[in-house]
Amino acid sequence: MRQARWLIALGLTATLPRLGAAQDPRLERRLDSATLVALTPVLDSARAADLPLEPLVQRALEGAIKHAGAARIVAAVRLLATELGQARTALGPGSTSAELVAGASALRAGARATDLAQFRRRRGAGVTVPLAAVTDLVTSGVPPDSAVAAVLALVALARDDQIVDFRRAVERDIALGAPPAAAAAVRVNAAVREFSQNTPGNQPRKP
Amino acid sequence: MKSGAWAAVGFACAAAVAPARTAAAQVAANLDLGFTDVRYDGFLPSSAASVSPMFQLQGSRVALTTRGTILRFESGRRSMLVGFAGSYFFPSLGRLQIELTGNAGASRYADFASFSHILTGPRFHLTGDRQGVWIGSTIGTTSFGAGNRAVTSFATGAWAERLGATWLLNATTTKVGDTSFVDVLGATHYEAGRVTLDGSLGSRNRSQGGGHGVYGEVSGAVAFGSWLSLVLAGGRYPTDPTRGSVSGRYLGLSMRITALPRRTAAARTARQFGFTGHGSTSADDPPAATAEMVHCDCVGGILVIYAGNATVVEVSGDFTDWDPMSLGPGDLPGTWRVATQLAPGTYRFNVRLDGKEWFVPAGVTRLKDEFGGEVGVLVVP
Repeated sequence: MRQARWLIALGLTATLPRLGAAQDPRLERRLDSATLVALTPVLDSARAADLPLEPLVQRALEGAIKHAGAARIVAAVRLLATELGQARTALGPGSTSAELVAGASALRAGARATDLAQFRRRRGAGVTVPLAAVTDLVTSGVPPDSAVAAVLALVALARDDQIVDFRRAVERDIALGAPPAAAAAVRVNAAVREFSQNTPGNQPRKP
Repeated sequence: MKSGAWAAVGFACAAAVAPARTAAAQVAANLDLGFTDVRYDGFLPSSAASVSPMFQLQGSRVALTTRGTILRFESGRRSMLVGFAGSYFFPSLGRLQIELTGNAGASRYADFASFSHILTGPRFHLTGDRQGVWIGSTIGTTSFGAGNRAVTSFATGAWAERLGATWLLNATTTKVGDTSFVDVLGATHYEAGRVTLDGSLGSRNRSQGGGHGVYGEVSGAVAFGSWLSLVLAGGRYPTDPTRGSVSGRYLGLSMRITALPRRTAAARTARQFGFTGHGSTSADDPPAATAEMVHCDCVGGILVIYAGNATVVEVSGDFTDWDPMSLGPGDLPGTWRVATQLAPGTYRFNVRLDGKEWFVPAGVTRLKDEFGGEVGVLVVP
């Protein structure tokens, strides 16, 4: 009887990782068993920490379509989980999955956790696009602190589409040969002036 | 058509140095087929059939335009004109941008009058967000038969985007051999939906051998779909001793066939940003594919891929669970669109053409992924 219990326990232990990963059929369908086994504890930890699982699943699926090995996929998912956790700490527990993903990217690009917190304070809800803009600017060569400062200056004044336009303008100036930090500074000054004038409080009012 | 040429130069300058929202083509090719009523000074009125091809390429630092016109008059005689214009933009110094221009062309009327010219010179631009000024000079030579004449010109101008249109004002002093004159020209360019309007008004002053007077041209184009437009144009233009055209008036109606439609802002911007994309060897090689978010009557947007040379375009990303998704054809030739709309957010994705390897198209942010390659990041506001 005792031996039977041990056999059952061993059987459960052996199947637990697979059951955990199998909770998302996409992973079971696309990953080999070794990757699934290695990935399960990472996903379980993320679930326990109440992190969004979908970005992690997508990162694993991305690795699968790019024929990455198990170790690389697991490392990528683990790194993203860590960054999502840092982003949530900075942005607050009510953050959306999209905000956390954008925050994680911004952190990886060189933004600090305190920067993310400033975005939340100045914008309130909806910091996905501003944080993505920071990542884009850094990718274009703007130093991280300059990118953060530029987007922070706009975040309370500009709509998301205006921030996207700002980012494109900076990237275009850079492509035309402007130093990235100077391009960001020039564009943000112009944008702040323009958006400040368009702020309802600054428009003439009827007596 | 002289003033039109100057306006084109001016608007090209404005487009080249203006922010991304300014209308400038990445790659464009048109063929105009039409009939024109022409009245050259000193000649009887005549009708003419016209064929005018145009090709334009704008890279991150290089802009090239070539255009030609063949006219066949009632008399059976032909007039041919071909021109090449190119610009190279040096890296900007703050708001200062230096452009090196080059211009060459030839014209021939019947069997007895043929001109050719070659010009080059620098142009210095000082640009703001929605306006700019420039000053430049040109030197070169023009030949009529066996005789060459030196050409020098100095120009200064300003452009601005106001009231939904681009406005241009310039002054040019030109000396061609013993002929000299000063042109002052104002022009405007306006686009709204399917309609494009151009207008110019100028005067020739202090002329010695180049004629005097006021001249101006107006043209309007209405697009019927992405590849066909109807163009009505008319006006008066002055003598151009450099290119060998005599002054005259004209009124023409033509059909414009667009072989390569102009690309919209994001694709254009991507090109200008130097995203080389798959298979490109430099910033001046066209990318094999360009991605662009287009607005829709929905929350979010639709992803469109420009891949003119592909027969099968697939996308794989967060929004497909990283399963390859074959794209259906878009509204324009060479475009492919993701069938589903994307909600606001950030997405990672790659594109594959004709079953080859996955890559990042131009037009989106390119990041190193964790798997030894690159991934595109798309932001849907």
